[in-house]
Amino acid sequence: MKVIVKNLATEYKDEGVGKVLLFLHGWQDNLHSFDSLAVSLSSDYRIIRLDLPGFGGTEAPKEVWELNDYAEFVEDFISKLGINVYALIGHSFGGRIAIKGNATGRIKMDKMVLIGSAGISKSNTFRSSILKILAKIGGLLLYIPPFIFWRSELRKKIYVLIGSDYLNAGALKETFLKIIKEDLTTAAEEIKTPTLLIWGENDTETPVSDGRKFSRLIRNSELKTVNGAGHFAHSEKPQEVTNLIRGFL
Amino acid sequence: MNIMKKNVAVIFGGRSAEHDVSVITAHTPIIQSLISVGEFEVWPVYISKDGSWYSDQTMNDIAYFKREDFQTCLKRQKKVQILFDDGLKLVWPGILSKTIIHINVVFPAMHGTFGEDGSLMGLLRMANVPFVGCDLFASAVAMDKVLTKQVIAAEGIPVVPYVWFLKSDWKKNRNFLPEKAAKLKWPLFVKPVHLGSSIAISKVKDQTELENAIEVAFHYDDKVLVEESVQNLIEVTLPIIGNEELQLGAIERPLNKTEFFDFSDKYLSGNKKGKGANNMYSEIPANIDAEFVKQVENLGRRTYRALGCSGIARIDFLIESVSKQVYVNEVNTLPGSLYHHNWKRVGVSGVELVKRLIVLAEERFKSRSGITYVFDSDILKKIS
Repeated sequence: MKVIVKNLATEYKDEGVGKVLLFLHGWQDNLHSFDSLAVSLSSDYRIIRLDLPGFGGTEAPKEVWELNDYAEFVEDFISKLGINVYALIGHSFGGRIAIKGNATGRIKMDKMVLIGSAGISKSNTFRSSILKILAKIGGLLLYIPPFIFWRSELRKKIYVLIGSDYLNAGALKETFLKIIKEDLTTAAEEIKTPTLLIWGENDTETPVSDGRKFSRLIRNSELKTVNGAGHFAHSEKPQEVTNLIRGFL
Repeated sequence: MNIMKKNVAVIFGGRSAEHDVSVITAHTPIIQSLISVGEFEVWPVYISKDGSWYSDQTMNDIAYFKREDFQTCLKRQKKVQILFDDGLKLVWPGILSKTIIHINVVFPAMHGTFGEDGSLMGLLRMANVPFVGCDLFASAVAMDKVLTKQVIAAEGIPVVPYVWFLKSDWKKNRNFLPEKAAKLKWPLFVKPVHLGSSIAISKVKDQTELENAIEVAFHYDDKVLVEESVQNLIEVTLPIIGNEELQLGAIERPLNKTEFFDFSDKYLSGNKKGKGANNMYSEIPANIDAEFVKQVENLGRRTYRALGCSGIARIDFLIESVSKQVYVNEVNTLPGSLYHHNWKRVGVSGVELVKRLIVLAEERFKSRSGITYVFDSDILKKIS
């Protein structure tokens, strides 16, 4: 189904009856990321999933967005559907939005679940800043012969160093840079909502150490790790993650 | 030998929500089949989403449009110019000379706005070139779901009860809608009037859903249709070809996977290789009562004629299986991928289908060329 939010045609799915669980997916992902969880949880809850702007079936923002714009978007989406969110469940980038929306009071919820949430700046921020500057300089150099002939290959190599999401971000590149620049340490400290943190033990995108840090920052939180899972614990080990969510709710 | 071949321009893409579907239709089956015939020199004419026109025979391969660096390749392409006087000509200007191809027949493969809605047909009529499929008038009427209902209902063909309104009405006063919709039986369907392929169609059960669905429809269109949903529904469709004499395809029944049949079901599900309309989603021929078959075929012919269709069209029906009421729902003047999967089931191959459509285009052009459009007059001399 579609609904218009912030003048963007927004794709979403609304299944089941009961208290509302709202799911926010990660960067370059879409609402189908939660297919397995939706099947098992929709017997007892109303499961609402949406494609965030720029992903899946939802139109991309017409200008560069910051994290707060995404949080505002989710706030408007909730208001449009006229729902009360019982639990907000965010994966990776969706976790960022959940934290931001919660801390700013934009998104009201009784409980929050963060799965492999992003939001803790990489410890080596100096390195990543330098690499980004190099990438920008490199980008210009690649228009000059002889580099222009290998431009495509060289670009890939440069961006692998700073994170492949940037290369794949397409029109959302500037939005991506704004979002990853924002560290959510302070925001996390302001959260009072009971929060479940679910982390794949082998997560390399947002390592378990990030989960531990969030666990310290969010006062009313508990961290659960999922054995044998990586960054996508909810689709890699759906049964375990479903059980954890059910137990928490 | 190439000089003996007819030049056929297949025009596709365009500034439409159905741009990508058009690329599929153009290649599967049209370009593939035209090339297989061996009697045609095929000139793909691609209109980009920003409205630029390109023509290069490398575009005869759909792989061109699927490559990762597609936009970069397109930027490097020289745009094609079109001449409309004395037939249609493709012109590629060069520094010292220019290449000109005289087109004998045009095969429009554009869905939705600026293509299937009659805009392109108007251009081709001006150019005085034969073209495949419905003419301007049928295309323009069929593109508007409300006009279609109004025209065929006037001919006594049954349609589902509906209301319609413009964006300007909605902006001025949202309260009029509950009054209008109160006469209809819920749940309701909300549809943008001019869009095909089920884009932005919603089924709504309450007032909030209705208002949200109308907003979605107005995001894509300036005219919206709200109609009753049919209970005990059997949905079928019937492709037809012909000008004077009509040939019917098989009655086909979509097998709904979701609450209603959407864009993904039609073009994507179970068919990730992008080989055109999904062959897995329907029952051909539809397993329905003989009584329904008779009614569908009869109403299909009458609708085709009432709208003045020619070449090819597909008529969609809604059947209330308990009260046995058959309604004509809408008409599609360029069925996705020409519904070639359906035609195969009645013994018409993709190659035969495109050949037949070219012949129909030439026949209609010939019959029209017998009509006198200009008159000698001395009226200008009489003006002082």
